[in-house]
Amino acid sequence: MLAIISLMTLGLHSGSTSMFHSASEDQATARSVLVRSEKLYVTPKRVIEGGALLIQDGVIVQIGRGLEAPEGARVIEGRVVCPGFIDAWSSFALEENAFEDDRVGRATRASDALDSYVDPRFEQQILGAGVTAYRVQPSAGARAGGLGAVVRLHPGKRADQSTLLADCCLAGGIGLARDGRAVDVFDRVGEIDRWIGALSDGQAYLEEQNEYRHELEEWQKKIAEKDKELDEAFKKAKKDREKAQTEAKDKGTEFKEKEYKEDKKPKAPRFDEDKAELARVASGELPLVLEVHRALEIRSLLEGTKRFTRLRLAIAGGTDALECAEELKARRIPVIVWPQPTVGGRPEEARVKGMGLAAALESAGVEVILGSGAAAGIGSRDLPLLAALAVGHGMQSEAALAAITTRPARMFDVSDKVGSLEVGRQADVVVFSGEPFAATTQVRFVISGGDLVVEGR
Amino acid sequence: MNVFTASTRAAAIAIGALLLSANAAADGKLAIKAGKVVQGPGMPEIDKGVILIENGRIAAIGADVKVPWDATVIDAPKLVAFPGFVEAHSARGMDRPNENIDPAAFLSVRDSIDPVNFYFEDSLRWGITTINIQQGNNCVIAGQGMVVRPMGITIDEMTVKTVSGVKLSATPKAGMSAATQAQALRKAFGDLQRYLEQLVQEKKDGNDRARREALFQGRDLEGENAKGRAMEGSAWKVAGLELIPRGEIDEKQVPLLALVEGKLPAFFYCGRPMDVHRALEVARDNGFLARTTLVISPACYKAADVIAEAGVPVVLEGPVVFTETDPLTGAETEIFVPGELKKKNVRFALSSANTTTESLWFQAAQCVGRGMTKTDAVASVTTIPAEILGLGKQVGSLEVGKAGNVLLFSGEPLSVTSWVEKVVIEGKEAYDRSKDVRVKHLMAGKAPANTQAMGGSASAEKKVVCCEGEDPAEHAKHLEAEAKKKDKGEGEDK
Amino acid sequence: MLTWILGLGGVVAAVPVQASDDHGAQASFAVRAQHLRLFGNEVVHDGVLVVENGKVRYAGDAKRAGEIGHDVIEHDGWLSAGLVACRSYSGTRGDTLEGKRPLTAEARIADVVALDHVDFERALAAGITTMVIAPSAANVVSGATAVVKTHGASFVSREAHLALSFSDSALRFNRYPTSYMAALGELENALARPSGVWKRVADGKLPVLLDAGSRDEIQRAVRFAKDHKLQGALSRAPWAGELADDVKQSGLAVIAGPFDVGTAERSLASVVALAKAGVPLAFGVDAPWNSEEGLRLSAAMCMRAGLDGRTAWESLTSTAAAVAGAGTRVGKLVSGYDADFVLWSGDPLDLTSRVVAVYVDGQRAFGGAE
Repeated sequence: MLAIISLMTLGLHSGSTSMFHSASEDQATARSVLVRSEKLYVTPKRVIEGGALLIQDGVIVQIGRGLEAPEGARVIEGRVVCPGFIDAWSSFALEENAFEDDRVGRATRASDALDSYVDPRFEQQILGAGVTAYRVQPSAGARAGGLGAVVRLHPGKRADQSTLLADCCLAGGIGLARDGRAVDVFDRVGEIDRWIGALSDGQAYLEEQNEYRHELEEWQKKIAEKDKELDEAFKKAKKDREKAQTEAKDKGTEFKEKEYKEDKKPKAPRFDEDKAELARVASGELPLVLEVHRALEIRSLLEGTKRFTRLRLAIAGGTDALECAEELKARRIPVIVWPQPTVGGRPEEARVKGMGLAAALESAGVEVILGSGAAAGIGSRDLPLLAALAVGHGMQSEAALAAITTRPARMFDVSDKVGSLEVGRQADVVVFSGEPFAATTQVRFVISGGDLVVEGR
Repeated sequence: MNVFTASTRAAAIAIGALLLSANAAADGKLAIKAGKVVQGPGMPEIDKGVILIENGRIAAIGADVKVPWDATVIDAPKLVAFPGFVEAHSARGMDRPNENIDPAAFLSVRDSIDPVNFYFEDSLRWGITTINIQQGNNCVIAGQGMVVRPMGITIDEMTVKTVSGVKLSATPKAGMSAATQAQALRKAFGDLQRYLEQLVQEKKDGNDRARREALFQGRDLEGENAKGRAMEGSAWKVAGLELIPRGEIDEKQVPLLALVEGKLPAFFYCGRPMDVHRALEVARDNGFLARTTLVISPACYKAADVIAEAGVPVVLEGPVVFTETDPLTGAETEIFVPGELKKKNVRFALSSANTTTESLWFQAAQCVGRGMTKTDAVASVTTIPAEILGLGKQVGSLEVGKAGNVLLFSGEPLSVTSWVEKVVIEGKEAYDRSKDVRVKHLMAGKAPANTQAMGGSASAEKKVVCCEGEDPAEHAKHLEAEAKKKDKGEGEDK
Repeated sequence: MLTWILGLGGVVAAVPVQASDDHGAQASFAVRAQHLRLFGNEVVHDGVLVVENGKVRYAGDAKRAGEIGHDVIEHDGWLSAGLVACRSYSGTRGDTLEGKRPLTAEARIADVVALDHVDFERALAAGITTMVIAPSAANVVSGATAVVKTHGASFVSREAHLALSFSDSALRFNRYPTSYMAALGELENALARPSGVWKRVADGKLPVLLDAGSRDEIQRAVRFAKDHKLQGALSRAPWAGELADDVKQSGLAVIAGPFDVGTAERSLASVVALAKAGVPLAFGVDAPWNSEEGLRLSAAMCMRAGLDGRTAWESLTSTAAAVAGAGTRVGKLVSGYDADFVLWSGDPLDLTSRVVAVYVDGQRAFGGAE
């Protein structure tokens, strides 16, 4: 089937070149790139052996087997070709004050926190590992972290120009140590309560808005009717008034106007930008990512959020999440795992909590997404290594690949732009010299946003 | 309670003395005869030129100007006349430059400027005759600034322009980050818009209700004229604002409204290149880009192309040479910032803030030393800041019709070895170095009158306190006499 | 690679017998694995390792092994020498720093290492069989390092290097010395009239471990080693690669790392540059403050930055063993060496592989039944 399609498109293409052989056509084909591979991952599940991609003006125009390179096109070869990786938990390009800001609120935006003058060589280092996009929050590890953004890495463009989605989620943390001080159990429970309360506030705000709108409509209808009535009755009212005025004059009393009463206009609820965002979260429009580690807190959180039926919740970190795996699976709550080697503890538990966590959760049926933990700015560069560690501790390769491509794209509502190779999209492609997670594999080429940004080593 | 310490008291007296001697000049007419007159950037220099100032303005300037018989003459054949320097942005001279609350556009520096602050006295030494005082950079939206002359004991005497513009900052206030700063800026304007819309809506509702009431009561309702003014603005408007008399608008919001309507200039501080984008975005979104001047730190040279594209001028606050450290290799590079700005065609004024020297002519000289033309360098401390402050027709160069702000330099104006010998502000002699007691103290080791050397000494015991309770005019004469005696090598040892 | 034919002629009958868990004190058995990672970059497919009395008897192609007269364990994966970490603080319970005196040449970290500590179990779980335990680098002369096996409670050496520090972490404001000058003066003094430990260093019998951070510190350390003809290794030296030629000339090795997620590219590039210049490399793991798994992660990060596989493997095993002063005992699967080896699920250089079982001196130290 694919062969037929590729032949057809081939026929069409060669037809067009012979018909319109103009200077601009030459230019167009000069901006063509054909990427050939032994193994093409359209998505982690859909692999095309010997597959190829044709990219024109930065957009993928063809995917298939045995594609011919148009005249003047650049040809790139590699063993394995994948969609660009996405780091679901990063702090790259956050300006330095963002790490200590106390005033971050729920409406603070990550897109405002990005340093548009971050040295492009750092971007190049991350791209050089095959990571082409990442999610970032306005404050690393804040209690109420604000609105996250998904940004594409492109050394030639500033962060504001390469943002894919400026508000991809609301984030926060529960029970995280602040200023090196651990939070005690009462404070942690308090933090959960505050989040539940905030979500309720958001819901209430939404309902308030809806109710207001409804009441306003009703009132406006009533008033319009009243207007009509009054208009019609004006002549009579005028006569009555004059009559009453003369009467009063005759009697020598003071003329008093008739008292006019009408329903008060309903008062608009005060605008609250924080609550507006929480409303979006409570209604399921925006996902909520909370970093939480201890089993007690995860359980309380799951318990408390049960009643928000439309809430899209995700957990980041989830060190003890295995204990709640069943409920996470049932409610389809993904866990964004940072498969880092842990420090201290007994060897068995350390592995399950650190590098083995992803595999353990995956086997229990929980959807696992991988991230570099926003540990250090350039940490995103090491995402593929972390994914390899997760595989080394039991995660299936295919799942690990999905955890850094299709799953984060889906979670953060950007799957129409990144995460898989589709015709019509701006190309985010990585070309490897071998299987992506093998030690000896090198990244040979990277195309981000349609432009070749890393060239072979 | 005596607010003034001994030194400020001495300063007050010193300034007063200087002023009084100035007031002794003829009412309105002053002629300055200088060995050379430098009129301004790119203008011809006049050898043995004469500047005639009448009623504060330059009436004539040239080599053969007729000096009226009743004019006071300053004969300075060895000195070079130069236009007074213009400081486009300064946060000094106030008791506290920064305010705590975020949107504080309704505040004014008028309430914090301290006329006897040492800064004003010092400005005269450096030949700065026009100063725009704005609030500090640690703010979101700070108050309104004003342009002053460093002369006078009251704010009124000092005022040149009552409102010079609103101060904003794109750089995070202490404790905030770029994200929360952006949020706060947006909130300020968002709140303004919501507030105005609410006002208009309430008015409309009130009018509607009044109309219905009249109908009900059988009254004819007189038409109400809109007592307000429609909102002007290039970025956003609130329809129906003409229904609201301007006096009813919360005075705290009025300056922001004026800003959005393009009626107030804005001084927007940017400490980092990324902040430049934020500032321009906020200014554009709220319609005051055309009246914005960016106050930038040297690091912002990286955003020069963006600034040039927006077409706004900048005030460069800080050293003209910026040392950049490569984040990857640690290597250091020196960047000549005004050179970079000039390359990208950004209009810039230099500032004496945040540098190791307060001398604007030294900064200009540094620019010339690094390849800038003298014209451009001089313009950046005279005519360009004057234009930025909207005073391009009043100050910045020595031309007929402009204010008589003249400096007399001991030598070539951009030379490091030159000093400002005299300063004339609007025809009044504001400073005379030969009478500057502090400089004498510094250079010759003599303490100013009515002060005591630290730690005390035997000679201090002998000090005759002559100035306590003395009439200022008498004291002025006393000081002059003292100065003459010292020049001759005599005099009391104080 | 040695070929050793056991027994006389006949058909090779490697009977796959499920060996018992417990091996005697004098362990003798064989392991047949799908892949054997040997010295250098050599990989043998279908290889066998023969252990006799806790030492390696033969490691190589199964076909050339001939008849094996021992129980053979089958392993569906890779087998390699155990990893050697050249800097760690495992088992010391934090007692690595003398706070009052900056020069304690006679101190020995071996005196405070608890060989039964859980730190070593974690190290085993990460495939590490030999570790250099060092005193803290926050003193100018902190004492002697020790080399331990992570199982079997044994020291390979109680005095492997003398640990010296050229970095500013050894200079404190509240006690002597506070300047580089004084610190160097003390070191020169010690070598001018050497006695005890210093005598052994001066005679070339005891190598040194030189901790250095900044470029200046590295240059001073290298010069010091050259001047006094000292052998040993630089420790940490994050940007030593920018002085690769000087380091090479001095004959010093470099113990790099540990590298964690987010390590600057400059540090990784330094390692690659050192390898290119031919400087012997090893990695430190700095446990328990850092994870023991960081050893392989450090190597993997350097490989991503351009380090070739062969050097990476040697830096984890043979070269590391030589730096530790145990180069004739561990780090290679060669006849006569200690039978310290690891069974992996895949190529140990790949992070996608994990430890299945670890053997030290022929004893199973970690890992469940096959």
